[in-house]
Amino acid sequence: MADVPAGRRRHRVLRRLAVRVPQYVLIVLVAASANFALPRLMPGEPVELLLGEMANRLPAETVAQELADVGLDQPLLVQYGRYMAGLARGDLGYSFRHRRPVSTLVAERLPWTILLVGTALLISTILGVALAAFAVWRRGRRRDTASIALFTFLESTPPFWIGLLLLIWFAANLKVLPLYGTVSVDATTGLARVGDILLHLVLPAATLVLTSVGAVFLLARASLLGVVREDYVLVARAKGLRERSVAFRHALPAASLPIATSVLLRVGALAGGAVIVERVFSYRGIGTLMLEASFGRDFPLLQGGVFVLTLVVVGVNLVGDLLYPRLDPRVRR
Amino acid sequence: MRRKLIALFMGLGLVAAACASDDKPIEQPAPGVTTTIPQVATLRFANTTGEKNITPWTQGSGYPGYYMMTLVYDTLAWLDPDGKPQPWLAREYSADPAGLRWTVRLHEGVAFHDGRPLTSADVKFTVEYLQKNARPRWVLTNVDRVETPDPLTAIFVLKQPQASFVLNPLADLPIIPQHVWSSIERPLEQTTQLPIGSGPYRLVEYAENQVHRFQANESYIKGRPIVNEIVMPYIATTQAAFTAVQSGQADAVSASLTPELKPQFNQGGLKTAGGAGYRGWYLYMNTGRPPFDKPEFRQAMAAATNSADIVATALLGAGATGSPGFVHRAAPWSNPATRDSRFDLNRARSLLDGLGYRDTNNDGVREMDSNRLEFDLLVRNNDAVAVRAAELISQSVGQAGVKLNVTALDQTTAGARTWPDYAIGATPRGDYTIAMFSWAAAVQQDPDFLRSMFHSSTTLGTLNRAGYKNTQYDELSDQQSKAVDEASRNRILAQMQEILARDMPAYPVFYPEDIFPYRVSAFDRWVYYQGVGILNKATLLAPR
Amino acid sequence: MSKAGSGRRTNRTLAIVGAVMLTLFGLLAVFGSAIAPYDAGERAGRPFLEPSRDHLLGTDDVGHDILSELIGGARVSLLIGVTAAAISVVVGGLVGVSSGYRRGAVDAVLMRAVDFALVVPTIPLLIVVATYLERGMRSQILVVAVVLWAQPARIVRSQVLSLRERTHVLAARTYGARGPYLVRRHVVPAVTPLLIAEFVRVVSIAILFEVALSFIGLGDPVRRSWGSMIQFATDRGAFLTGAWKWWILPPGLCIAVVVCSFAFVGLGLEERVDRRLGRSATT
Repeated sequence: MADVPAGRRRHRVLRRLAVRVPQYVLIVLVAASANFALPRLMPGEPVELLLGEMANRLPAETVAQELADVGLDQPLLVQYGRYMAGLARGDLGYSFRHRRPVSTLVAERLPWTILLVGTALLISTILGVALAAFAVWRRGRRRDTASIALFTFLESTPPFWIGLLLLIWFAANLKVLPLYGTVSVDATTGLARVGDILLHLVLPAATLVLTSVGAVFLLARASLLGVVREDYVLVARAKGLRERSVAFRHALPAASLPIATSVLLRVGALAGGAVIVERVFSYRGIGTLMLEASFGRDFPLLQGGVFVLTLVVVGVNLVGDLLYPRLDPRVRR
Repeated sequence: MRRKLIALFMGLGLVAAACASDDKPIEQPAPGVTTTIPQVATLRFANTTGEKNITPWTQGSGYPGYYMMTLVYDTLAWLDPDGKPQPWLAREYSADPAGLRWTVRLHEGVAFHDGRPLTSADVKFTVEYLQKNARPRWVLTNVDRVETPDPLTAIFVLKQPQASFVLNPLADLPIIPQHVWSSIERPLEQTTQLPIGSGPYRLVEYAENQVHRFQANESYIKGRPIVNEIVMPYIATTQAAFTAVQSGQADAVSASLTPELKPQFNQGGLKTAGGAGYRGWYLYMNTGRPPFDKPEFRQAMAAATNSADIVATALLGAGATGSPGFVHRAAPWSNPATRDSRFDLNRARSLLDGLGYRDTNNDGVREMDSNRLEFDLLVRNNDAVAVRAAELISQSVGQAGVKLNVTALDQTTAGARTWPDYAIGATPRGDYTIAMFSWAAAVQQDPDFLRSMFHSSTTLGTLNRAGYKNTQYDELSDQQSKAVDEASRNRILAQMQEILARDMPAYPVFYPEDIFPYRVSAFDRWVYYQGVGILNKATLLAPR
Repeated sequence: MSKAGSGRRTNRTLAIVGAVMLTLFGLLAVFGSAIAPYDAGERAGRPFLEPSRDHLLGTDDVGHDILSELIGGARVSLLIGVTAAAISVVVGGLVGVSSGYRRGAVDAVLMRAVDFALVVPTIPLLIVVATYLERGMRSQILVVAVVLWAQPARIVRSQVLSLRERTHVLAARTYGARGPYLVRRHVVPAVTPLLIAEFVRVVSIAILFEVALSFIGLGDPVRRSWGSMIQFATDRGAFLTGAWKWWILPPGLCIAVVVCSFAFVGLGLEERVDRRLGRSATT
């Protein structure tokens, strides 16, 4: 196992960065441009599409002023330029319904969704990998079929349905967990507040975990199986190492690459699931913000929320992509 | 040893002194009350409407919004549970024989939450400020000026007699403090500054779409409130709110139960309070668009709507059918001749035949020349009962040969589209042919609303969603607004209802029964205010 | 290596189970109205009846028989899912073929669009598009298709790219075979099994999306799909009255079983596709 000289390794990483980052930047630009184009292409009143339905109820001078700010009277390119410049400054527009800038509203709610998705991602990964390791090392045809069938079934259930059932059982019937919200309205501080937040997190996170652990399991299992056949594992076995050692010191690190990258790449799907789950539990994250914006025809807020969420998901994807060579020892060779 | 004893006695003395100077221990009943009603520390009232800051310019819904606002602000008069106005901030009020000068005398010693006294200057200021920064609920165009001969007397000088003057503005207009609002140029922007009023509660905390927290005003003019603190958490879905009441996470809720839940909430420490609600669902028709521009066509639609069936099915019987005369059957001015709805498919069919619409190609839908009788029936999608009702209407109207496609839209869009094809004042024009629309209870409490609903002028008919134009109706509605004598006013109102029943610009389909659940152990003195709801500041005060 | 990495036997068993379930549901969708005890839109009884001999799953809030609604829902949900999947796969296939075949600028642009569509979180995108478009089955199908065409496009493209360099194709090209002929004779047969596998995968997602949209209120409540059944059930107190057992549980189970069946069939297909092409089909 000749090791790659440090210089060459760094060079490779940089090269990867140089290729990947511009691709992602391009994606972000496309997302921003789509945000710009969408309201201008859709059927409907430009005022309403650009400023939200509420804008229709403002006095005429205010509306004219706002449109001038947006530059609706200017040629398209100028509008685009101003829009992009605004984005770079962090200006996502103004919500007339809430009378606050979109970026403030998004910043208030985004951390909660990140908390929810992050927790669910972590738990489902650990659980999925552990279950897969167990399944691989204790193989048997019937058990295989059963486990694949079970986890595929779990993946097929509509997330909100599972969420509703959990809500009925634990919150409404057993009354051990809160029915709604991110945090209770009574002010709590310190440890009590942390506990309160965790209590409210249990059911939504459990729902997300139940519906995403299947995919992690199937993927982890496939990776581990693939790795188990590799030469170096056979060598390790031949050397007489115990199964557990083979598993943890050799197979798992090798299999970790596809698992890790696919976990990170699943953030997008999980974020989408979170939007629905937030609704079931009235969890005040960015998902419910987007739905409120959708029903309130508050287009700037809706698009701002989607754009920020996309940014976050793209960022995580980029990290997953960059992590690619570092986790797999084979690549380092 | 002696020094220690002296220290001990001094300590005891200090403690005794401290206890003696303690003002009001928590359990002391309000002054003037002989029975002791136990104080309630905290009441958790779940709110399912997203109320913002509760000033007169930023407050949202009719119920609970207006009633949250009036926890903090007072009006000169106030409606009792039967809907009759009683003096409140005012000690008494009366009009001169011509009905043009209303003299209002205030109570002594009313103070705002910041300690400043409430005087007639504040009343005058409120009227003038609202005339400058109008809100649709309080139309003050008829008030010429307010005279303030002394700090406790305000004289409203009207341009014309106003029959509903006591109902609105006296019993409805919140009095705002001049010393706070005189420096505020843009009242619509007051989204964060907490309101200061004279009411029994102070808003001490508010987070948009999360919670409102009220603290009792211990020196309130009508006595100390029974409940010390009211917390109103926002719960996005009514079902979650009902479940919260059932599981004890909330003590009451602002939404009315759907009828199938009634049995659940009359057991296990839960009770319901309610009655005939005034909030109604109406079938609105755009009278500017053919074929709905013909009264016979609208009559046909009404005749083909089976209100009784809708109440029996979608409401499980818990509701009242609407009256063709538009006024709720329980209102004192309801015209008995136009009170009952009649479902008559044959009549509908013959009306349509008479207009020339026939089903020539046997597809179940009538047409004439190239005009097929197929329309989109708009309804908002966040009220399951309303969507079901729309489906039922579509089915029964379909039997007469008119096809209605139920189109469920989000509430804001549905509301924004249900306006005529021309703008009414600041309200932009809409886009609908036929729609289900719900009005809050308030519109059935004051007959003056009949003018706002159907007057053809855009300054007086501010709520004319059907785009109805009838000069005879206009004249009558102007007359009733000035008719101070109740009997003659009711006669005019009866005539107006006959016109509406004949022309049918909008057809009230049903009024759901109000069923408000609450936890008995938390607070059980709830009173249902006729047609409106249970949240009312008067309920939270000790009786005198 | 195949996605499940499992043995042939496992995949085949599951695929058969899946195929059987799908056939059952397909039959239900087509002939359901004949089997169902009542018409799904008919007011068959009083509202909120509990399960009984007349109504095996009770009645809903207006009096429709829930079992009949469940059967009728199969048609709606399957129709929406299958149509949306078909559109995405066809569009994706076309994009993939043009992109892989033409290469150059066309390829670059199309692939950036694909990258974008793959990375953007789907449900938020769904919400945005659904908010702008009118309600109705047509726009629902469109919305779902707009979001799902990218993966088939990418998969087809990589297949086309590798095909171009295969010996038999190169040979054909030296003999003067041109575009349309090549496409017809070589590309289509190679790509079709891929598309079928993708179709099966996408249908599951499409059904879940439609159901999610209905539940949050961006669907069409009048369309009696399984998703709107659950929505009405939730809004009419099904969990407070205990009616959830026969009103929320069955539609959810049906959705899960149908989607799962598609997934099982997909497992079996994937394996065959892998074998036929001699290598992994995914990039």
